[in-house]
Amino acid sequence: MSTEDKNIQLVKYLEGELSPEESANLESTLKHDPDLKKEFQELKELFGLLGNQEEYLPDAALKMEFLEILENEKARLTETTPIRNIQKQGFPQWFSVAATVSLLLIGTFTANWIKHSTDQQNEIKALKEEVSITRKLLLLAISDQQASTRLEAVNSVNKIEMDDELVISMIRVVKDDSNLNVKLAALEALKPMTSDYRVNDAFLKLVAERDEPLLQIYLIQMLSEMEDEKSIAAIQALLVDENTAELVREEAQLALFRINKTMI
Amino acid sequence: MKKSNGLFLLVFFAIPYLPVFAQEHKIAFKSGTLVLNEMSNLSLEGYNGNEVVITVTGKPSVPEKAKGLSPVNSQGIQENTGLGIAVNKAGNDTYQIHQILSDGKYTIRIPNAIKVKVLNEGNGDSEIKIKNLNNDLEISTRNADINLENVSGPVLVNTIRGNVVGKFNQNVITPISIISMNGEVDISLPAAVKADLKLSSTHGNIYTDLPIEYSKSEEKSESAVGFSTGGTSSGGSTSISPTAAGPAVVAGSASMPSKTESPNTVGYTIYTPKTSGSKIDAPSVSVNGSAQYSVYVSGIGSVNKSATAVKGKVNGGGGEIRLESRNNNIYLRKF
Repeated sequence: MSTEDKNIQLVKYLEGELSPEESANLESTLKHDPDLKKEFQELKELFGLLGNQEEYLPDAALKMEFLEILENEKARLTETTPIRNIQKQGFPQWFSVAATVSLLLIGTFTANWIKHSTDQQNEIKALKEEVSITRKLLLLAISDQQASTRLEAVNSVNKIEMDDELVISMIRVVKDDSNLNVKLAALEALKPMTSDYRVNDAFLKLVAERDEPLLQIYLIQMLSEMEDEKSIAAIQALLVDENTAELVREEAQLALFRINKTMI
Repeated sequence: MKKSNGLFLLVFFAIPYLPVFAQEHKIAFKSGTLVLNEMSNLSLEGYNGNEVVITVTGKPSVPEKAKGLSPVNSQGIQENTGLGIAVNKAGNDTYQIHQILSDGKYTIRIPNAIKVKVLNEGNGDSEIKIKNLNNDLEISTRNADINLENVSGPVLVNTIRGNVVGKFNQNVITPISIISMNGEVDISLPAAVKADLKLSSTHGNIYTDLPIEYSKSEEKSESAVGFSTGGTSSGGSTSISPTAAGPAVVAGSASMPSKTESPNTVGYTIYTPKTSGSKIDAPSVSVNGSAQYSVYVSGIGSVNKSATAVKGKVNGGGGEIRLESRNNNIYLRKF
C-alpha cells in the first residue's frame, strides 16, 4: 500500500467507512508503523477540531449562492483538470483536510464576529430604548405635583440629548410651571438653544409678562446676550411700558447699556 | 341662678366671634401639603405629631365695633379661626391658610410628614422662620427674610429682596435651589455633603470653605473671553495658584450702579484661607489650580455680563444644589 492509499484509509477509518476487516488490518499496521501512527494522530486531532466546531447555519440565500458557486466550480473542473491531478502534484491528503479545517475555522470566526457585532447593535438598540424610557420618565416627572420632583427632572435634562419633545416641554415649564425655581432651571436648560426659533419666540413673548419680575430679569439677561434686533426691541419695549416693575426696568437699562458698549 | 346662666350663655356664644380671645387653632392633619399665604411673622416648627397647631402672639387689632363680625381679605377669603387667619381645606390632602388680619405673630407646629409651601407677596418687612422640618419646602417671597434651621430639604426658595439664611441638618436631600435677587444667601451644609453645586452671583461675591472641585466649563470660559473683549477697562488676566492648604475662596465683584463708586471701578478680590485679607485687583481673573479648579471671574464696571458663576462637586458630587444671589453675596459654609 502506498502512503497515499494509507492516508485515504486513515481518513476513511476515522470517518468509520472501513469494513471491520479493513479496520482490524489498519489497526495492526498502526501498531508497527510509527510514521503512520503519527500521521493518524495528527489526522485524529484535526477531526477532533472539526467535531468541536459549533454548527454554523448560513441563511438560505447564502446557502443558495454557495451551492451555485459550487456547481459552477464543478462544471469548470470537469472541463479541465481533475482534482486527483493536484494530489499527484505532491499535496498530501491531510493538507486538503487541514485547508478545509482552516476554512471552517475562518468561517466560524466570521460567524462569531457577525454574531458579536449583532450583539453590539442590540446593545446600542437597548441603550437607545433606555434613553427613550428615560425621556418618557422625565416628561412624566416634569408634570409631577411636587415642585422638587419637577426641579430634579428639569435639572437632569442637560444630561441627555434634547429632542423636539423635550425642547417644547422645557418651554412649557418656563411658561406654566407654578414654581419659579423650576422655571429658572428650565430656562437654564434652554440656554444653549436660544437660537432655536421656538425658544426665541417664547422668550420674546415671556419677557413682556409682568407676573414674575425675577423671571423677566433672567429673560432680559438671556435676550441681551443674543444681541439681535428683535431681542433689543423687546428689551426697549420694557423701558417704554410704564407698568414695568422698577427692578425689571433697571435690568433692562443695564442690558441695553451693555449691548451699546459691546457694539462700539 | 338665672342670672349666672345668662352670663354663661353670653360668654359661650361670644368666644367664637372675638378673635382677641382665641390663642390656638388645631387641624387634624398629618400628611399632605400645607400652604401658607401672606403670613408676615411666621415661625414654623416640625414635630412628631398628628395635628397642625397654630398659636398667635400679639393680638390682631380688632375694633370694638367688629365684635360679632369676621374680617375678609381682598380675595374674598373670610377669617374663620378667631386667630386672624382663615384655614380652608383645598382638595383631599391640602390645607390653605391665609392671614387676614395683620399684626399677629404666628407659630405653627406641623407634623414631620407634611410638605410646606410659603407664599408671601407682601411688601412689608417680615420674617419667615422654619426649623426641624424634614420634608419638601417651597418658599416664595417678595420682601420677607427667610431663616431655615435644621432642615433636610428638598428646599426651593425664591425671593426678590429677602435674605436667606439656611442651616441644613446632616441628612441633606436634594434638589436644593435658593435664589435671591437682592438678598444675601448664607447656607451651612454638613462637611460630608455629596452634591453638585451651582453657585452664581452677578454683582456680589461668593465665599466658601467647602472643599469644592470646580469643573471646567467651556461655556464659562467663553463668556469670560467674550466679557474681556467687551470691556472698556484695561484688560488683563491674572492667574493665581491656590495654596496647598485648600481651595481658594472665589470672589468677583463689580460696583453696583446704586453705590457711590465710579461706574468704571472694577474690583476683584480673591481670598484664600491662608492669605485672607490680601487682595488682588484685576479686570479679569482666572484661577487655575492643579487642574482641579478653574474659575473665571469677569465684569465691566456697573454692567456685568457674566459675573461669578461656578459649578463644582463636593465629596464626589451628588444631587444638585443651586445657590444664587444676583445683587448680593453668597456664603456657603461647612459645619
